[in-house]
Amino acid sequence: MRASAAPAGLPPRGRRIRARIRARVRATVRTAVPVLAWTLACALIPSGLRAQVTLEDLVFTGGASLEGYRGNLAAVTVPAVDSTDEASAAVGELGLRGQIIFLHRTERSLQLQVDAGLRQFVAGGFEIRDYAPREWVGRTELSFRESLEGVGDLWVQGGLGGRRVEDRPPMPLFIQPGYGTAEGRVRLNLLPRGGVLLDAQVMGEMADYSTGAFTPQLALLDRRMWGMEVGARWDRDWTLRVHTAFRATEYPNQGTFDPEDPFRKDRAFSLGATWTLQSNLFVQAGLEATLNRSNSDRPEYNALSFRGVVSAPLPRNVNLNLYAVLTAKNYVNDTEFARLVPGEEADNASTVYLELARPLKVNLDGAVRFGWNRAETDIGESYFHRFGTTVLFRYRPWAP
Amino acid sequence: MIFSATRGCSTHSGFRFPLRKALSTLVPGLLASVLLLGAGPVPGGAQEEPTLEELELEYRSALSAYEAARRAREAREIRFDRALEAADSARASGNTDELDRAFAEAQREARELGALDRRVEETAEQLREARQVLLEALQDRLEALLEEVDSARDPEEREELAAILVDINNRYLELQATEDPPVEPEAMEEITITPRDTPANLRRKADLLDFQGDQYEAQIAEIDRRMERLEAAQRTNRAVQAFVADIERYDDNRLPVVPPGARNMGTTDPEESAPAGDSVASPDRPMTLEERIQSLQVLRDRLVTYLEQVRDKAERFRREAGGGGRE
Repeated sequence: MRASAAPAGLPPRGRRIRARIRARVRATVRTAVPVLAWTLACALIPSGLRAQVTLEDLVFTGGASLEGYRGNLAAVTVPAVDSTDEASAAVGELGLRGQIIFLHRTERSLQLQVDAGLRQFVAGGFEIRDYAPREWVGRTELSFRESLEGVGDLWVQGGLGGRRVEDRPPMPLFIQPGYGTAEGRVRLNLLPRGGVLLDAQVMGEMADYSTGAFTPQLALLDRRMWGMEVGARWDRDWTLRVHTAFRATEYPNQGTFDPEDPFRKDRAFSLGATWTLQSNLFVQAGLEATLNRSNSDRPEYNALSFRGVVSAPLPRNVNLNLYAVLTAKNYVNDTEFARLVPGEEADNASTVYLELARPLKVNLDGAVRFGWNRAETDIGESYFHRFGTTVLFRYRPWAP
Repeated sequence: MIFSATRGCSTHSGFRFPLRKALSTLVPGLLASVLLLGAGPVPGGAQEEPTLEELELEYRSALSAYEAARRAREAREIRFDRALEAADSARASGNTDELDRAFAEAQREARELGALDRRVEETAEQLREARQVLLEALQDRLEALLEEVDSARDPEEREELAAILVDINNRYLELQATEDPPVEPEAMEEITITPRDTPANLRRKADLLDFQGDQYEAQIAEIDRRMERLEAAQRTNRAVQAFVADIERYDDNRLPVVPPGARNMGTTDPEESAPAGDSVASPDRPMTLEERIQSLQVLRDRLVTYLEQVRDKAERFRREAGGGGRE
């Protein structure tokens, strides 16, 4: 059966256009903020410090992919609905990341990290029409470290992030919607005591999703979070860090049907460990258990997540990189409602990326990457799959 | 009467504050203060020229600061040498843990030595300036005294002035003969040529210097091996960061079923330090890979300077002994 392209009950045309313009302006501002922050930071560096400023690990990425998507899940946050079960896309992308170190001394440091990208899809296989979604993303984080005599290091970090999506397609081509985030963190890394490094941090985040005339429901995902985390680390030839965290998240646009406590509030407790080996071989394995409790029955769950990152040198100067995240999740309460709102939480998910990379020139690396995602939802045992092959080039203009 | 927003502000308690009036009083006052502070002390005016005695005191104070900095650097150098000796012993006995500890200690001492080198340079500069000012003042005083001696009619007064003149002239010559304070640290500065040295003695001293040079070369080779390992780890680390950043940039790891915006745990955090290695025994915060490479580079630079110094010195000693190569 072919689904209709737009939901019924549309607002008048003038209001739609104004809403669309507003959304576009907001999204543009969000994307431009990190870039402006970068430019301003460069321009406002006091001249005395300018001599010390260094640009580190600047990497330009360009790539092309072929991707396939399977699994037509219900998707209330997507403006259009299409009944196809399979879609495919050719994708081109450009990326940039790097950090500016304004100050790096034993007693204090100040650095700005920037990551930005543009990705263009040419998607096909849909019933209604073909789509050409475009993503603009940007993220920037300013970190200041002050060394406290006899205590440790105090880090103050603040970051802005944003993404803007044009011509967002229906499922099964899932692209995260556009949003803007602001986050901050204060972290204290204590000096080693008996071979153990303790750290503690408090953090906060705000996320505002871009809504349009056809997607006011994206506002459901707006959230405010604050949390705290404590960790202990042991350094040998490897590093082991165990941590426990608490996060409180409010969703001011999600109702609970309880007039005395009308908006959804989640409390998540997590306990995890990460083991890292960092030599010419890089191995990182982490396990984290999360208990999410809420004043709304629907999103209460227990989850276990594994994350592994491996980078190993192979013969002929080839490097093998592997990234895997596996998540298993169980909901505490049965519900008659559909839990899945794309971009929100649901059931088990697996993500695996495998990459073979090698230097082509002194400053240029070439890579072939294979990606596979699988997500299982609780709606009629439906699945979402994404798989693709990407050819990437990474250019480091000032590589040593 | 209640003031409007443009004319004044009123607090909740009803107290009314005339904003414009306050500003008109405060702004000129503030401007005047800023101007006065910016202008600093008035040049010329009532400032008095420092006396010769005051300049002498300033010179002595600068000399004392310089000598204190030199002594502190010498003490550090002893500790640095001790750490290097411990590294030599550990390498000879194949004790890698001890070698790591000794190298970490040597790196710390090298950093401290770097700071003390700068301190010695600063105090030496201050000493040079104080000496120059004192020399000029002494010269002026000598010229003035000469004029006074010439114009003195009373022979007794002339004699008195001549005695003062001789004393100040001696001080001037003494100060002028003082060498510029040495700034550069010198390896094995205790080994020098003395008038009683025979050619055989000088060759033995040159051999001793070369033996120390060999030790420095071995240490530099060990540092190069460590830097190579760290640079390989740094390359791997950067490759991983680029790989993970490319995946996470577009939120592809955030599937329809992962909480929006929630980062998957354990990202490769740039502020996280590298596993310990050299800094295993460090009571300070563990260093990042970049800092460890930088720290080793500081140590290497110092050892290379010392190596060049002892090789040059050995060569000079052999030339003094009448030539000949190393035994």
